[in-house]
Amino acid sequence: MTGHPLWSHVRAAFLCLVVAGNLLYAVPFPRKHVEDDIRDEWRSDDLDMWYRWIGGVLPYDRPAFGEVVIDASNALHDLGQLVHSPVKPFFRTLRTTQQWGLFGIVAEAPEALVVEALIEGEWVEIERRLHPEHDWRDPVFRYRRVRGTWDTVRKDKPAPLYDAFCRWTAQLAFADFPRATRVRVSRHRSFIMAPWEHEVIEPKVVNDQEFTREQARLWVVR
Amino acid sequence: MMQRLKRAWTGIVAFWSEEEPATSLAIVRIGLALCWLYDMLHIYDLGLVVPLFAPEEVGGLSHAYLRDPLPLWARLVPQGVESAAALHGIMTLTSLSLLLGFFTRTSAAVLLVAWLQWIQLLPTGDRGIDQLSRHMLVLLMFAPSGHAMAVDAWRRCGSWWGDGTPVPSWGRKLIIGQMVLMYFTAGVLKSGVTWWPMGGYAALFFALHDPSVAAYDFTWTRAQPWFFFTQVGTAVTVIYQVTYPLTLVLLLWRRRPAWGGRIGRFCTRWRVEWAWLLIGAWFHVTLGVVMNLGIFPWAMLALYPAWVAPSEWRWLVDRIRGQRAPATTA
Repeated sequence: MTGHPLWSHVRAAFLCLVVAGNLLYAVPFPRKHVEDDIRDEWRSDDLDMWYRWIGGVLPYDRPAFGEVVIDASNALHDLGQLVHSPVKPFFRTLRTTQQWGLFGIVAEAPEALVVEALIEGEWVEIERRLHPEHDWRDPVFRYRRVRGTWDTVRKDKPAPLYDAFCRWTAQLAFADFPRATRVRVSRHRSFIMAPWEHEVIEPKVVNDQEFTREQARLWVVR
Repeated sequence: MMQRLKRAWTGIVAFWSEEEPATSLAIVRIGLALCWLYDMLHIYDLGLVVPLFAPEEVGGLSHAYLRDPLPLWARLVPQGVESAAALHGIMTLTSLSLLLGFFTRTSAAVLLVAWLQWIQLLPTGDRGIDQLSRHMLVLLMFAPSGHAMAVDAWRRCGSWWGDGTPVPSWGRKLIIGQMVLMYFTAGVLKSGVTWWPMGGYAALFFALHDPSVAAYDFTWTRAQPWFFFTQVGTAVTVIYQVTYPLTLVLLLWRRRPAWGGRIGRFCTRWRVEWAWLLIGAWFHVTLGVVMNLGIFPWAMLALYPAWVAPSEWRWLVDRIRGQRAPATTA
């Protein structure tokens, strides 16, 4: 695999650039600039917790600590924009990253997908993740790419394709349950408590959508 | 100063110019291609080709026609059931040809382009392992993984196994580098408090209670000693990920035994880097069993053969055959 004497130098230079570019993109600069109108509430729980841990050795009170952290975060964000700019086109084209936040934040209030069908005047639960009997099309809904269309890590916002997912699910349910007159798709949020926590919070139904057979056939341009 | 720089550059050029048989690279290629092929066949088996590859207007989940600019695939091919089947077919066939090592580099390039079109149709279906897979496809476009265990090897030398001709080893080195970077950033980006002591190392406990990803009902882990075991699992995960770059130091000591002193000699002799590999393998196999993460754990495991030098595969094969050959490591 030898060629022109210069080739090994060119290859080495290119590979060094590849490594450097990937390392640059791995530096976890803050992704968003904290705007003035949200400074007061920005990550206040996290800041409270950190202040409880390290506030005793800092020369700031809690509000000043928050201001310092936000200013630092914004400065790092601006630096990150500058540092990432040479390699950003490559990563945007490939739609990838070098910041692997694998389960970086684990949901403490996760949601279970629930599908119900109105059959002969009675709502029947046909699918609920991990339910031993209500497991209609469960392999489909737990497939990771389908899960991406209904699951989200954001607290108050369903995934961007949630509406399309609900309509599609309703179509499937109407096809598999010919006697169903309505289908309801929702997410049931449960609040998991660690073993040392004893509070019980009732599950909450979020993002429920209901369809008649006709409505499930329609698609709507948003 | 110039002399030192020149010497350093000569060392860097020599490092990236090293050659070895393509065995490890080929095993990684086969493992990854198996995962991708399985994923495509699984989609077909679940009846998800149209839902995942077509726009909403024809029964899919995608808002492709609302995207600005339109994805290239949507501009070139009228979107419908046929276009969904075609894109899925291209990805399936190129995964298969990559597995077989048939026009290996071209297959990697075509699969990458098709994959990029697909995620523009369905961005929310894209997970971390898909992003890592695309990094690996770029690598397979350039690294000579088809020089062993491939139809390309058979066409070149008449043997599917290849003839052992050395090829540049930078591909295997970059895979190792990618793994180190991935695990390390996964460790340092664990910003959720439940990964750390102040959150009671409860992250794994909470993950096992998430019905969207848990494979089974794990409510029983609330009781002791099971909760304690999840805490140990959480702590070990963070520690092994954050300390992963130490494996590079161990590899450096292997190449430069004098630099590591007694500790280096001990680590080299006992191959201490395998501690990270074994914990990682255990971690992925466990995840593969207890959680619904698709090909993630298995595709990650497919990268692990990159840590084994081709000479070590040779040594392993000889041992299995009952022959004793001197083991050399790289």
